[in-house]
Amino acid sequence: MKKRLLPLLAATLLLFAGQVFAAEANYVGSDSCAGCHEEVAQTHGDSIHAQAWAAMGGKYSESGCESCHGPGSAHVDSNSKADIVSFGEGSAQDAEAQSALCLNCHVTSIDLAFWDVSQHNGETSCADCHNTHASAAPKVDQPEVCFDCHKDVRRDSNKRSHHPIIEGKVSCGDCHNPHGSMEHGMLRADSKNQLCYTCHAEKRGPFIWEHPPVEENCGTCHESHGSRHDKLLSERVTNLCQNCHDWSYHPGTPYDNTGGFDPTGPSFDDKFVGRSCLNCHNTIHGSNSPDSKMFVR
Amino acid sequence: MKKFIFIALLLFVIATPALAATYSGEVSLGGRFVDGDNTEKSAKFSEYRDIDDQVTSELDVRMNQDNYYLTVEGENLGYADQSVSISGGYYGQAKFRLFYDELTHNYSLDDKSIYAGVGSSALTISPSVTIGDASTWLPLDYTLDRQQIGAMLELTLIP
Repeated sequence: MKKRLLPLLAATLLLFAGQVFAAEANYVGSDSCAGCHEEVAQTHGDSIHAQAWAAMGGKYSESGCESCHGPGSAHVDSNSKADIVSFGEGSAQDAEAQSALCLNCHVTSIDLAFWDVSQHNGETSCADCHNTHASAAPKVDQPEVCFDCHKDVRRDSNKRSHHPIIEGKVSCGDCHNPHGSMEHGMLRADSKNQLCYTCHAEKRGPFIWEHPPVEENCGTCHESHGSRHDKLLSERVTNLCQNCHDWSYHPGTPYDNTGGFDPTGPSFDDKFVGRSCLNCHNTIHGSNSPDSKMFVR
Repeated sequence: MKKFIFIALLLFVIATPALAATYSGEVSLGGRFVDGDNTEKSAKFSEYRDIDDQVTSELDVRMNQDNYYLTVEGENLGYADQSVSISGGYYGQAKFRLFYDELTHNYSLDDKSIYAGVGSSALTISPSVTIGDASTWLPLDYTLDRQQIGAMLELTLIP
């Protein structure tokens, strides 16, 4: 029995030793990399990373490509991606390991303070969005890069009532921090309302007469990215209002094609004319008029 | 404030050549002609943009000198949807950004109102207006303009 086990043990040890030996690679220098990756080497030379490392000196400027990709001798010998640290599609490292390499330097960035709780952390690596070899700064081309995954947002942003996202005046990063935040949706504020107030300050109040859902959550009535209803509303005004106001005063019964504000009036469709409920309740976000409890002035 | 932003931008652009730095980027100028059935007067067509027959411009210039860098970006300069930003810093130590962004939101153009002083704190009915005659009402572009000015400074105290 022992005689049979010995060769097996020796073979296992040899195999293990071989793997350890193979994992030990040496630095070969950026010139070796440029021998095959000519185009990347050329654009990277003009990149912000190359410029920063040249300016800062030390280990980064000495190691060049291998500052991020690790020692490359094993890769030179095998020509396999498995033998070198690589980024993006086809990488042998998982997303978390790839991002960890970037965080070696960028961990001090304010924007990355909440990366650990970011919904992007785990399945998305930095290289999925940023092109570090680009000849300019590796900024993300928004919103296109975001739309690659968030197709529902692309759909909403193209609806007739939308924030100026596709016009380029509001970028995804204006409202969201893709690197993580403590708020749901990785918002750049403590709440959705606080975020909206950064532009729509006139809705903040305080008002003498507050409309409770306005104080509570702008998202109660509005969609964030786009809607087929005016003002990014989630429903048509009459229906939206009656979600809550369905029991008293003139909207005592749900509106349909037989009843409006005045069923005996000239037109049963008058509830849909103009701005509908907002024709009269035109200060619906809140009113400072003492006698405007119903937001009519 | 607009003047201040442009003067600051100008000073940066004038001052940087003295630094014997390397430059890259692009400055582009173009022209635009809008035609159609009053297309340029459609509020929906130009909902968030200042679109008319006009000269268009785009600026993206990057300066690099030793460990200092500066980037100047801008588009639609001089129009209601212009934006300009200056960002820069010292690699590994500090970065800053100054920006000015203007946004126009056109709700409806060539509107009419019985009131004079729309957009001000006092609405009055002009004696020349006859309520029953819309042809005497006063013309009005119902638009909202927003200006955003900001600055950012980030220091790395422990490199």
